[in-house]
Amino acid sequence: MAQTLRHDVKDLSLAPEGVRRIMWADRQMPVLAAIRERFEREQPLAGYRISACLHVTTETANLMRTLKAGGADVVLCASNPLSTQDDVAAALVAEFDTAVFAIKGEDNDTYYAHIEAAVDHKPQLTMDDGADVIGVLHSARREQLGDIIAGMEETTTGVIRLKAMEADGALAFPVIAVNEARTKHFFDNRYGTGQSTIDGIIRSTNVLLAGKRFVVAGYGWVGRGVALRARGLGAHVIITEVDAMRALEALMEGYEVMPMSDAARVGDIFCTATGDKHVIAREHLEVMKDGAIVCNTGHFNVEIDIPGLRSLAVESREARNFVEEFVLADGRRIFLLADGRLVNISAAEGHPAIVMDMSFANQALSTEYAIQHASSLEHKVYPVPTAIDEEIARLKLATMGVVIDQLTEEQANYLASWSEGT
Amino acid sequence: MDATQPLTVDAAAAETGWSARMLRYLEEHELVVPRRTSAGYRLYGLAELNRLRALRDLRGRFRIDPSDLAFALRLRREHELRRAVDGWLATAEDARSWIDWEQRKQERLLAA
Repeated sequence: MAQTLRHDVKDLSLAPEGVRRIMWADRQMPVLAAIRERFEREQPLAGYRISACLHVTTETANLMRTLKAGGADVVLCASNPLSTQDDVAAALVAEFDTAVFAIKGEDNDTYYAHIEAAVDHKPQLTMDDGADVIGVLHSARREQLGDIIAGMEETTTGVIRLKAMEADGALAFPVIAVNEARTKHFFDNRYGTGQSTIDGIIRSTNVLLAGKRFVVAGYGWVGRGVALRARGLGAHVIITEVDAMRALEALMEGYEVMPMSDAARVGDIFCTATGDKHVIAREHLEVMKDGAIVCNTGHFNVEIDIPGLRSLAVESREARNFVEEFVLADGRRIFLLADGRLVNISAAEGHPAIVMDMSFANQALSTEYAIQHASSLEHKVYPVPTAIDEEIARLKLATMGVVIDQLTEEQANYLASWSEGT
Repeated sequence: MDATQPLTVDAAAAETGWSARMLRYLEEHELVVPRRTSAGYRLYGLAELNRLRALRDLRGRFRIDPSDLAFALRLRREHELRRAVDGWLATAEDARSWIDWEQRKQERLLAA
């Protein structure tokens, strides 16, 4: 069967290495494994065609295995031509019976041809990390729109785009925004990025966090995670925010809260996690202390005004790997990590597989949900249903061997009567 | 001085601008290996002297130390080491390049 499977990957002989690495990641993905076992028994995706456009990595491979186990006919292409792991692509084709169209470093034409190939699969369900397949279906392949039951979108940016399409009445099938699940935020953004950001800062600088004034710009899920871990290592954490509720929450959590113009003067380490631009602007860089370390863990490298920093500096050099030293006119030095790119992916290893386990469990269960509720879903962007979030939390606890209390019948009745009485 | 006459280590050092200690270091790392007299004294011939002068030029142009050269030699000879170093360097570059690609993709999405 594997011989006849359509595919375009670099080299099938890389498959054994890919299998080895996929199985290693699998050990860190127990929730997905539990779902896979159930899917194998219940076959909820039997006969459905799925086209997925995701980073072709070991974690994604385990999601593909899960969809296959549920009976789906899956095709995978890359959501980024540079993140593809060729051994994983080979293993999926040769060992896991999944058609893959992805070659690391492929040029733009090949990249888009591969997305087309995934669409040629005539999918009924789509999975995107940046709305690629959904985009092709809404433009060059409109004749296929009628086949689609639902799409899943993994990224915030993709969801923003799809919500805009929904508002214009242009969205032609239901989409589930996987990024907005609590079990995604909690683990991926807060604990995953929280840890890997600190990891990136420490690996690149070998700085001791204890006793340092650590400024976190933005108290969203990522900011919360970074602040939590920095405090855990003994740093004195300062939060800057524009949202009153979040600022208040940070304050009540025991952090100092102040505007960036004040934080800039006292901070030793700065980390932006806002999603906006020039959060650390030229005027902030101008007043920083000698030796200040500046980095970003938001999506884009626009959160720090890097052109402004370059124009302020009279000299710059690579101080260490991933550390650029800028010398200002009065001799003060500012250290920029990883060119202002995501410090957790650039200077550390990004999300551990165990974090992707939760995100991809949302993908797998949302796919099942979309099939079960196909008739009632409208052409809208939906959050992941609460029941799925709860199921994943329950599975996660179970895989960790943690047992929680259950309401007694009496307690359940009491709660029910109380809510009815109000 | 007769240019074809081999030089002792001290004379060769004086002639090429390196220290005698550096010459022994270079020999130890098989970068410039002089002949020996029957009594065991080092003798630097024209070829070795030229290599020492060329190395001094390299240092001037690229700011490389003899230890850099010794490592470059290891990279040429030790296949496993070269693969490991290449792989490590590529990982760092890969992370930068795929993140940049991701950013451009997301910017296009937001602009659409």
